[in-house]
Amino acid sequence: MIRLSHVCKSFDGGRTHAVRDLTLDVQTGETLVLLGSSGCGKTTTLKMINRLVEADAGLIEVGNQNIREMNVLELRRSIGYVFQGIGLFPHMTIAENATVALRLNGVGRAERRRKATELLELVQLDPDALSHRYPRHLSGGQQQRVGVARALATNPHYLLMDEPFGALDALTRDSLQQEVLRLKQQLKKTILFVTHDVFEALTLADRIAVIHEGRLHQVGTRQELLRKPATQFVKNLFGKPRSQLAAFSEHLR
Amino acid sequence: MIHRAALVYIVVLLLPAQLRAQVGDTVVVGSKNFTEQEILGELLAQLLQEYTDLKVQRRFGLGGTGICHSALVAGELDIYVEYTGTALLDILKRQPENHPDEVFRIIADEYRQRFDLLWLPPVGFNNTYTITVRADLAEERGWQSISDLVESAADLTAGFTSEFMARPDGYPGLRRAYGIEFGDTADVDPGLMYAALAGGQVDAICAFSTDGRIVAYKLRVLRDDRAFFPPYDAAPVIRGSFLRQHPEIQTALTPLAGTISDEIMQQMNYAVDELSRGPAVVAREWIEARATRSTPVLAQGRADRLAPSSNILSFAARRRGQVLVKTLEHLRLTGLAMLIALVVGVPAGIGIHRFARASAPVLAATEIVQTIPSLAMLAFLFAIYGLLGPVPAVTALALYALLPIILNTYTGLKEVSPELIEAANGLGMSGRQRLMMVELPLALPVMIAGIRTATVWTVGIATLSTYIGAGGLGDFISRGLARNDARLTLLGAVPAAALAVLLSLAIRHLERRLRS
Repeated sequence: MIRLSHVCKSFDGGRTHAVRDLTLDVQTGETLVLLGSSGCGKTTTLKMINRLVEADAGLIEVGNQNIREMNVLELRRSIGYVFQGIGLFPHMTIAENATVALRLNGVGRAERRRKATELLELVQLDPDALSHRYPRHLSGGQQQRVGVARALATNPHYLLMDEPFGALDALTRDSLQQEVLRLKQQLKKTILFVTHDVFEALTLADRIAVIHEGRLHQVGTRQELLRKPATQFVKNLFGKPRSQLAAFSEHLR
Repeated sequence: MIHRAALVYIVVLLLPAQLRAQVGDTVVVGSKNFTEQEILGELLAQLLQEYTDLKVQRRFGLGGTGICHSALVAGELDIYVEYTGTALLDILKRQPENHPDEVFRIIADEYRQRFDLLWLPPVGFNNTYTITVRADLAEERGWQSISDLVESAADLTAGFTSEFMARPDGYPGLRRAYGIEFGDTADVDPGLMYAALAGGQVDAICAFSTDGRIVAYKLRVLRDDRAFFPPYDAAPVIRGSFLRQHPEIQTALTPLAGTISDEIMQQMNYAVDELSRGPAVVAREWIEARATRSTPVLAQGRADRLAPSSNILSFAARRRGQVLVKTLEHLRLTGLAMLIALVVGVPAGIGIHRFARASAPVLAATEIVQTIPSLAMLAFLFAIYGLLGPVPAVTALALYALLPIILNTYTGLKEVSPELIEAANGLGMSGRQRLMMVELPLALPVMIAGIRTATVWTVGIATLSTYIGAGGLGDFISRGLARNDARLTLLGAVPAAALAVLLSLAIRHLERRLRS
C-alpha cells in the first residue's frame, strides 16, 4: 500500500503550498482517485510518490518502506506511471516503447518481443499490425493504450495515472475508462488515479479523495461523498454536475 | 580486429615525422610554394638521391619563408634553398646591405651562431627586383644598364607594382640612386605587368630577375650598374648537425655551386610556368646536361603543351593516379580531423548541456577559434608543435570542426521535449540510460546536420594544409596557382568540391533516414 503522512510541498520557498499537510493511504488492490481542479496539487502529489518531485516534509511509504530510504531508480521501476502527456518516445517502435522498462531491467531482446505482444494484447491493440509502427502513426487513444501497456510492462504492484485520458475525446475516453476497469479486475493493482473529471472519478474509483488548494477535503467511497459531503466545496463539486445532469435529462424528455 | 588496425594506423600517422623517418637515414628537402623553389627543391633532391645513399623525402610547397625557416630550425626539414636578402631582412631583421659578399658573410655567421644552420655556396643567380624593358626597344636604343635609361626616362611610362612604389629598395630608392625620373608611372598587378610591357602599354617594369616570362615575352633585364637593388642570391641552407653527420652532402651538391645563372633560372621557370613541364623533369634535364657538359633542352620544342584549356580532360586523365593518391590523402586528413572533432566535440556538447554554466564560455571559445584565419591557424599550430605535415594540419581542421559539432550536440539535446525527459525519469532511467536511450537518439538528426556542416568545411579548409606540407588536393591547387596553370588548379579544386558535395549528400541521406 501507499501511505502519505503530513506531506508538504512548496515551490516558492514556503510562501504558498502546492500540497499542505496531506495524509492519505491507498490500500493494496484499491483504486483511489485524487479529484480536484487543475492546480490543486494532485499531480504534485503523484510525482512525490515516485520522487520526480521531492516532498519538503512528511513521510511517504510505498509497501511499508520510506521512499527516501529506497534507491530512487528501484522505486521508480517498481511503480508503473502513466503520463498526462502520454510521453511515448518518438524514435522507438510501439513494441520498444511498451517494453522500455524491461530493457532497463536487462531483459533480453527475444523475451521483450514476446512480452510486447502480450502487453499490446492486454490493452486491446493488435500486435501484428502495430508492433513495428511508430507512435506518430497511432491515434491519441491508441497512443495512450501503449502508455498504459508501458506502465504495466514490469508487472508492478503500483500504478500511478496522471490524468491519462484528459486530452482524449469523450468516446475514446469512455472506452479507455472501461479498459481500466477491466484491467483493474484482471490485474488487481494498487492504483492512484488523478483526474479533474467528476464522472471519471465516479466511474473508476473504489474511493475518492477530494483535494482543493493543496488540502485534502474529504476521502471516502462515492456514496459517502455524495450523501455526506464533509465541506461546502465537496458539496458543490458533486452538486453542480448533478443539477446539470438533471437539466440534461429534463431536456431529453 | 578492424578497430585495432585503425588505432595502429592513427598512432603511426600521428607520430612525428622524425621518428617515422628513422627507419633508414633520410634527408628531408623543403621548398616554398612557387615554381622556382620547386625546381630548386627538385635539384637538391635529385642530386642527393644520385650522389648519396640517403633516402630523400620531399616537403615542397610550404607556405612561406617563416614556415621553411622554423621547420629547418625544428629539424622537420634538413635542407632548402633560401635567398640571402630574405634571410638578412625577413629572418635576421637586419638593415639592407647592398654588397652580395658582405650580405652572405653576415647571414652565414649569424645563422651558424644562432641556429646552427649552414649556408652552402650560392647557386649563381640573384632573384631580385630589376628594371626590365622590351628586348627590341633595348636593341634599338642601345640600353644595357639602368644608367642608359636615365636620359630618356622622362618620355617613358613605367609599370610598377604598388609594393615596388612604396618600398625603400623600390622606386623611391631607385630615384635617389640613379637620379631617374619616369614621365609617368602606372600601378600594375605583379602577375600582369609582363604582358603589359610586351603589349606596349608600359615601357619598363619592375620584373623579378628570374621570372620565366622574361624569356617568354622576349624582354631584357637592364644591368643594375650602381648595385642599387639588394642581392637575393639563392643558396642551400642546411642543418649543421645533419651536415656533420653526412659530410658527403657537400660533395653531392657541388654541381649546383655558382652554375645556375639568371638566364638558366629564367628558362627553367619558363619551361614549368609557360610550357607546363614538371619541375622534376626540368631539374633532371639540367642535371643530365650538367653531367655531360651539354646544353639542357629545357625550353625547347614543347610548344604542343602551350594550349592550356584545349585538352583539360586528357591532362586530368594522364594524372588520374596522382589525383587518386591526393584525394585519398585529402580524405585521410578530413576523416582524422572529423574523428577527433567527434571524440572531443560530442562529449563536450553533452557536458555543456549537463552543466549549463559552462555552455556560454565553451561556445564562445569555439566561436573565437572559428574567427582565426586558416593560414594563421596552420602557421600557429606548426609553431606550437614544431612539426610539419598531418599533425598540425589535422589539429587545425579538428579545431574548426568543433563548433558545429559541439553547438549542434548541445542544441539537439536542449530541444528534446521536457515531457519525454520526465517520462524517461519516471520510468526509472539512470542519467546514462536516459542519455543513451532517449536524449542522444532524439538529438541525433540535429547532431548529424552539424557533422555535415563540419565535414564540408573541413574538406574545404584541408586544401590549405599543403602549406605546412600535409599533402591533399591543396597540393595541386597551390602548385597551379604558383605556376599560373588553371588545369593544375582545377585538378585539385574539382575533386575537392566533388568530395564536399558527395560527403554532404551521403550525410544528408543518413539524416533523412534517421528523421523518417
